[in-house]
Amino acid sequence: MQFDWSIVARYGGSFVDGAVMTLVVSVAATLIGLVIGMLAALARLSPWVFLRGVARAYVEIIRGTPLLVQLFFLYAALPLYGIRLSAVASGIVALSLYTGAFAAEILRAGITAVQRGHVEAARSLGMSYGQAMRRIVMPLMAVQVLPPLTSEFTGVIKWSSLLSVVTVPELTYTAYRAIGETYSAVEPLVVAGLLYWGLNDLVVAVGRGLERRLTRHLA
Amino acid sequence: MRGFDVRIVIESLPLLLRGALITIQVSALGLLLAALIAVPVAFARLSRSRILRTTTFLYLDFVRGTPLLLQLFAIFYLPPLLGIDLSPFASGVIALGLNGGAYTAEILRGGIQALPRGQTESARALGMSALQSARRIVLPQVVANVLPALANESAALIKASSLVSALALVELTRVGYQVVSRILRPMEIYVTVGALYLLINAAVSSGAALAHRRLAAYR
Repeated sequence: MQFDWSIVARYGGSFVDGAVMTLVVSVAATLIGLVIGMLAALARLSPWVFLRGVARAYVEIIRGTPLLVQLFFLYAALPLYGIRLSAVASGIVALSLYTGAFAAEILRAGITAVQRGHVEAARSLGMSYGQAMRRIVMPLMAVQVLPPLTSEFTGVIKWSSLLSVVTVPELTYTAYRAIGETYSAVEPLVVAGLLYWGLNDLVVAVGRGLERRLTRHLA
Repeated sequence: MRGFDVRIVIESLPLLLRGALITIQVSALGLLLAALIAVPVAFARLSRSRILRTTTFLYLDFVRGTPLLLQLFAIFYLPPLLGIDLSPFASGVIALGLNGGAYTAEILRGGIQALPRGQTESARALGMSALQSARRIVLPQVVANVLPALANESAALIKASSLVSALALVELTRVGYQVVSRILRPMEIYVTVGALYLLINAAVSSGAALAHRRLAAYR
């Protein structure tokens, strides 16, 4: 068994395209997921029972069922109700809804972790509301929230591989296609694996850097 | 727009339940393998030997840095090249075990590090071997402490078992997909599939909650 570099050379461009698609889909899903997550977290902390119930049902259903089932459901069920989405769009919707539920729980924990006393103390020391938010509340929340959000984002990159099942041309799809066309599995799997590994470690490094920046006011 | 037809749920339930049984079997064996891998790996990560630490770190970083779907493809395509034939069920168990083992090992490592050093030291001072102290003193306390995280990991593994459908193993997700392609009723079928996953996960988490209370003596 020999590692065939010509396959790497021939498919290099497609793998780069695939990695870009993986990154684009993951970033889009993470950003939308953060918005959904923030809304769901606030809803879960709201005084209205109905709002709390809806947010709780969303979080529990999404976290209790596999993403693959959610993806199949969206992909097959939406057209019955007249909503036609491209593979990429339905993939981003499914991934955003999925990561939004996890982000909701992370953000909820972060919000409840900051105590009222911190804001009051900052204000009484003469900080404006904006200063207190920027210097006290945000870093405190960031300490709590950034590490799990970073690992959630690496999770999104990995879970985005499922979009290959609905023919989104991302990294796993590219590898799968290359295996089908060349009849050799080792090279495409190694290349795709290394690219994922690199993306993953890059995200972790960026997350750590961001964490250090945001917490530089803290002793 | 069509309504939700309960008759379709009832008619397809026997088939879906048979799929759910396969999901439970592949997940249970995957969890067992994950536990068998995680315990030695967690201790190896904390060992004094640099070779052990580095190899286990590479295993963990690789598994956690690449998508499960890609790992499944690797376990499906690579062993035949070495002359080893695995059934889809066996490949699924191995992939879930290797993947879950990495995440479980990190949970256990955190638990071991959180345990006061004095526990091991007193065990050793009382004449226990390293193995005895790990088995009788360290692990019972660590498992009791990290049980909620282990329960989360088990739920994640059960959901992840849906990906084994990509290897043509006819488990719950695959059965659902097949029924939908035959009768074109994604709404009823995928909602039922999702409900069955929720049920399995609810059973696991209430079992874990019970064990958490029972193991309170060790905490």
